Amino acid sequence: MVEPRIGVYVCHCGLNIAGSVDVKEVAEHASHLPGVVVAREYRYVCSDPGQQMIREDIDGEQLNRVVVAACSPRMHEFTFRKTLQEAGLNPYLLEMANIREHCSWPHEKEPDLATEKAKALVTMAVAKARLVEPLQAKSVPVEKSTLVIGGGIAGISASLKLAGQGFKVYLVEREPSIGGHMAQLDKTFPTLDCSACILTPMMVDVSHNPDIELLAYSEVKGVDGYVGNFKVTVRRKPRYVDEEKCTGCGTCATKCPAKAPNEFDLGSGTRKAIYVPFPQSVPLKYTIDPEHCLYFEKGICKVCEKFCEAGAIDFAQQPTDVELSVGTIIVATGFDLFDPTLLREYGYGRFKNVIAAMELERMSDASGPTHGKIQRRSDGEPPRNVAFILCVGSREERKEGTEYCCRIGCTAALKEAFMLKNKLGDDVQVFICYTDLRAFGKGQEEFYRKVRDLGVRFIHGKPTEIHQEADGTLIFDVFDTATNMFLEVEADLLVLMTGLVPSRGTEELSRMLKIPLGQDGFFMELHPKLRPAQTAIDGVHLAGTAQGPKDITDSVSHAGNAAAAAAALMASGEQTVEPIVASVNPDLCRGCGRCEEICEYGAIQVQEVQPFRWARVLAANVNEAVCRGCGACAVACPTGAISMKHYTDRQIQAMIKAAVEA
Amino acid sequence: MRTGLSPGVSPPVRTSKSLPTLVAELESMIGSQKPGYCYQCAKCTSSCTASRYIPEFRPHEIVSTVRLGLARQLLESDLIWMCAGCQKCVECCPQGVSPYEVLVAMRNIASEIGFIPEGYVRMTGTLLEKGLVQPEQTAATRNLEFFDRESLKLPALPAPSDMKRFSSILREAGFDKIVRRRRS
Amino acid sequence: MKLALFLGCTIPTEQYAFEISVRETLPKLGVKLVDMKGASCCGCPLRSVNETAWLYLSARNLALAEEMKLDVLPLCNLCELSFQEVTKLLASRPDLKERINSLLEKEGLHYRGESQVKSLMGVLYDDVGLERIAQSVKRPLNGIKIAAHYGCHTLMPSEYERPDDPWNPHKLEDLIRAVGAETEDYREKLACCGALLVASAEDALAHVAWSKLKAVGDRGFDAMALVCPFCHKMFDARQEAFNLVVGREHVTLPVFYYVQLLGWAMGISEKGVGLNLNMSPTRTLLRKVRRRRKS
Repeated sequence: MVEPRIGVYVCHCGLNIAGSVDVKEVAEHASHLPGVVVAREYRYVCSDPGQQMIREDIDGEQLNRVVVAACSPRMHEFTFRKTLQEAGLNPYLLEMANIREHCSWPHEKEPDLATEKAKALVTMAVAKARLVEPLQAKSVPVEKSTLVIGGGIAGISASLKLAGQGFKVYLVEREPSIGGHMAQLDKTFPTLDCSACILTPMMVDVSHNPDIELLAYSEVKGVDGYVGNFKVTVRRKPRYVDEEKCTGCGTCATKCPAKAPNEFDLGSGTRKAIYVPFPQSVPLKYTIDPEHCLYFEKGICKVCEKFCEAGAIDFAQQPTDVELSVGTIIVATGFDLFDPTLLREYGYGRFKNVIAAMELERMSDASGPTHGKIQRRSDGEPPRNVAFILCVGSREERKEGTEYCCRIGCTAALKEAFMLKNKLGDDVQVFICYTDLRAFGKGQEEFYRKVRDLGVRFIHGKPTEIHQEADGTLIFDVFDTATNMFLEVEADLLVLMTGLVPSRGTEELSRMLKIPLGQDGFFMELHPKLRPAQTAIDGVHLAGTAQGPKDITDSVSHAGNAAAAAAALMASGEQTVEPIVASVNPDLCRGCGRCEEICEYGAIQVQEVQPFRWARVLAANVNEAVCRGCGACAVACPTGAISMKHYTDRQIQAMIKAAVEA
Repeated sequence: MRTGLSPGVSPPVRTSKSLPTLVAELESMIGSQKPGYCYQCAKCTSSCTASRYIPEFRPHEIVSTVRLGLARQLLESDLIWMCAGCQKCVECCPQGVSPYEVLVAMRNIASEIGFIPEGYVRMTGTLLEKGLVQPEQTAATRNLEFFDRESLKLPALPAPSDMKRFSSILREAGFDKIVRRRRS
Repeated sequence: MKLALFLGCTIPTEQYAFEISVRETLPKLGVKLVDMKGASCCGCPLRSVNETAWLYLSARNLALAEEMKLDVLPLCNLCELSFQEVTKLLASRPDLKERINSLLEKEGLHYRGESQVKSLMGVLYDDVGLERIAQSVKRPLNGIKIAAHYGCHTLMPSEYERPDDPWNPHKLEDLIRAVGAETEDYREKLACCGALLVASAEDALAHVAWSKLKAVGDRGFDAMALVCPFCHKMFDARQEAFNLVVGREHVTLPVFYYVQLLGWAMGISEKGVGLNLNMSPTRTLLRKVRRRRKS
């Protein structure tokens, strides 16, 4: 081993460190430590002149190890590694001592003790620096293709952004058509664009784009591998219709005698057993629902087959699995709507004229179950009095609800109130019962003002018990804090603004991808402010409401973020992998498998190796691209066969020894 | 010298620099009251039984007053005793504030400092004497016949076997102060 | 089935009809009741004065039931809710449990939380069952429509185990139908009787109770059936007094304990279910039923 020649740099960090630690004393102390050739203190070591100082010393003093005593490595370890690299040293010959977050900041009030601690920290860092070895970051090839899970507005946006840059995109959607919840909306706030009009061109773009392979009516069944090299199994569910042959003419549906509740209309309308979810479906291919099809239930009918001119019906179709190799994954699985039946005080499910917000959207949509006519369920007549209750299920600590704000309820209610006044005329009374009215986005406050101008009445209070009169009218008491009055509200139609919950299957997907869920059940981002589209697993990104409630505007921005992050990873065709990983000494490994059990990332596996021609043994093998360097396997290993590069037992022991002796 | 407009009929309530909010005291008591979490949806008042007939009694207002640190005068008022105990606010509050339990806790504090309606003092006294909060009553029928337990062939009234020990334990549990105040 | 009968304060000192009917009907339906020696107030009315005393009083009665090795049936809804709350509190707060047990030791008692707390409505609906009730009916109450009044404490707060759903209860209505009467849902079904306002706001109380009685009458019900001694006190005994205080339309409505109706339907005499003690015109209504049966 080369004789260590260590340079120690103690940073003032302005007054952040120098305010409580005597940096001159620490530098003086460091200069006497074994192996230390030069010790300096400087105001801002991370600045250009600071880095220049290090580079000059590396050259002038022939330094082969550098210790920087400054802020947390999370801040500038990367910076200083580059400094070393620029000066011709292996970047992993750097050691940092955190004398700010771990010393000067918490011990502000005890400068003497802080200085002693800083000295000890530097002694420890120098002890380790004497033992660090140069390491090489590896490069792994990266597939230039992305799997996008979910074909709602976020999935569609991300796909189109990536496809335009020449990356291949596999868009997997579990429903028969892409479009997600945005396809169910009539208009979008605050511009009142027709939702289908702005969405369907994007959907068509997806289907025509040569770089996007659309796998609709399919689900992700398994994910293996690591960033740049994911191996995904996608199960294509059987439509019982040959996608290659189906022209989408719809004759089968016209002739089909079997009906089923229409999920797209939230069960308020019907569809046939052979169907497309909505007229502008992409792909425009029909699907047979085996639970309602007479052939599958009773072995009779088959009328669709008789009338299909393209001969596309195939009752014998089986599910097929497709194996994909992709470099990155984008999770865009969207949300589900909160079920207001859980909050029995509102009478949803008990009273016909209590409906959920999305059901009102479907009624308003011209291609919906009532062809755009707003009507009461009890008698089919248009309502004269409509009441909205906001925050149904949201901002709730009771176990039936969700803790968080749904972010879209207030503006959606304003939009629907506007639509009601528009469709039913000025003399329809609209009441909105709210707790807080959150119209925070661009154009939303102006839209709120417009709605106020229409004479929509706002009640600042929340009702609880809903009752129904004999004729189906709903009646409830509510206290209005604005006027300090008890109001008794009669409504022909009561609309509950329900919140958002994580999409069905989120837990399973999180296990498959090994990405964590937040406390609210949505996928957890790496950093809520700075990295909202990234996850703890490199190469897996989040787009849209899969990460948390947001409106279409924010979903599209978020999807762009995910696409850009994915593109950055894939653009060069290769990915650098940090060499701070586990390493196995095969002589000591006995193949017990405890490391494999404990590894959260699947990065270490016991495999059969053949060290000699006549010997086959089991030994642990580290996949360095996946390993996060957490060290759990090293602890679990009973024989001490595993050590962590850059954090070897010897290095750690040297630090402990230095700390104890200091 | 404090300058300003001279106070009118309904001057603003002055908040002092250090607001004794009562929140800490309330939260340290046994129940699950959490006045700090209230976000003023007024669902409690929308469902409140007493509110409909007692305009000053608004659970959401009382909780807000406590949060602002202006609840001291509430402790000395009759208002906090006007709750009907119907539990509707406990059932429907989305934040688990439970205005009913806030009021119960406030009443505990009020009782300790001597503000307690006569009816409750009476009940405490009877309890310490007989083990029940009211003595045996004579029941009347529509035809003005009178009955008691014996004439109705009902078994004797239940009561703790050792009344002296029973009442001394209750005093230790907390009734001592109330009884002493009653005497003074 | 054998249960320790807990009477609380109001029932044994005033609401005798409730006690009489329960003692008459439940044993005939297979529920044996054992009196609790040494029982005291459950503490609920004094919870507003001192919470520790309340905990102690409820725990004490539960400990007595534990000593008898029986589950306990508190007849009064406030006692029952109190027992449920205390059971849950002491189970989740070992520090409180210790404090209360140290007080109980002075009376030679110990609380473990082993006795289950039953409710009258729960016992009738789940343990006895609608079928058995219907079978024991000899004089069905046909031809009259009775409004169910659950009271508040039977239903809420639902964070504790309550006998029925707080927003859409149905058990009392099913029980009413089991004795032959008609019933239906009505808007004011969940409205409170206001009883606890008696100590502080008598006038408001009169309005609260009177308006419910008026609503029930206006909706065409012949009578009201309830399960709580406080509700009964308000709607039955104080009906006339409230009419005077409110000073508007005079409301007359027969008000029964459900168990009184049950006992009468099972063939027990009017006196046997304490109907002579009801202040509202209950016997006139029953005479109507009898006449209709004869014709």
